[in-house]
Amino acid sequence: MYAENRWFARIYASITAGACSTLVTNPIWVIKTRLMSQVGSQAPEEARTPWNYRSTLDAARKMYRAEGFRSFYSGLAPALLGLSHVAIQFPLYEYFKLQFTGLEMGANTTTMDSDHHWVGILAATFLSKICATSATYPHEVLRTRLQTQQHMYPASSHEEISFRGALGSAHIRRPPGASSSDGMLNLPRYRGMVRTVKTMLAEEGWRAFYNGMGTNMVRAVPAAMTTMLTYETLKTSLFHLQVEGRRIMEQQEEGTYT
Amino acid sequence: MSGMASGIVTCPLDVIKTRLQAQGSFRKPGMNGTSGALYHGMLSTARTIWREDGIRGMYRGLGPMLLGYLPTWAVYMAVYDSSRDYYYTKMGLCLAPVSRILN
Repeated sequence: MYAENRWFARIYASITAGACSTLVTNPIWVIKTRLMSQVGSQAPEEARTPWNYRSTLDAARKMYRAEGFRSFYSGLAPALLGLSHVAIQFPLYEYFKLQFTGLEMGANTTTMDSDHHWVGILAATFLSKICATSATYPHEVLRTRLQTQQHMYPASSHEEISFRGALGSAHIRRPPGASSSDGMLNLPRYRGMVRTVKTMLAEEGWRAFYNGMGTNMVRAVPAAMTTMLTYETLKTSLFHLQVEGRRIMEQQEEGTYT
Repeated sequence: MSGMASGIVTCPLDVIKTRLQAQGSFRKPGMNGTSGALYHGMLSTARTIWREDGIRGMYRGLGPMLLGYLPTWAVYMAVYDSSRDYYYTKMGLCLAPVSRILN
């Protein structure tokens, strides 16, 4: 009961901490996503982004000028939703680890001959990370789509007019922007999470929500395995140090008495 | 430091992922399904980026990526420790009467 509560406390704490760091760093991630989706001059026309930033600072300046402060917090909702990742990964990790090694997270073995133990930890991390990533991956695509969409003020030129989403504009009574040359309203393709999901489903189908997941696994799974192994190794060596320290102290105490 | 090192190793993967994730945003009206997709799969996307933009393309966005590491971890660690203690005490208090009955 007590252990279980500690466990919930850790998950809550990691979600709280994740939410705070997301709130602080979201502007940096928007700039990162925009720079990464930008293509070089050799790229074909259809791959071009509507912006062209030279550097991080340049991106920040241009975004602020053209789209205002709001653009730095685009994609925040899916980013926060993505924090549920830990609430899936860690319980699963604990479960798999218990199955494979018979030990709780951070618990220590008293024997050093624990090759089996490390294999168990790696397997548990691998499986839990893959499950959590598959379950929560669509939030990443949503976040990227919202981050790479410009919040334009009424368009002043042809090029600035963004595309309308496949769902059309029937849901909006008052046009937020100017009209494009063909007399249609100038609306952003994605507006809010629910509409973004609908637009993507209509335009590209459900597979779009898993675009890039394989690549993400290649990146995230080894990283998680390294982190977990480091964490468990530190825990174990700390435990052994404590045991050793206690032994030395006892020896010294014995020494003072004899 | 290890964050920086892993950032340098994983940046190209991050670029590939971002391209794959974002590609639907820039599609022209009238395209259907995956017909207009520019990038397919990790290796093919890597080749496209390499061909069009070379090493620079692979490391686009490295600056903000490294810039973001420090505040992310600083805020995360600070908040994690204090909020974990908060939840511990909160749960400890909730648990106390129950454990008293059980004992």
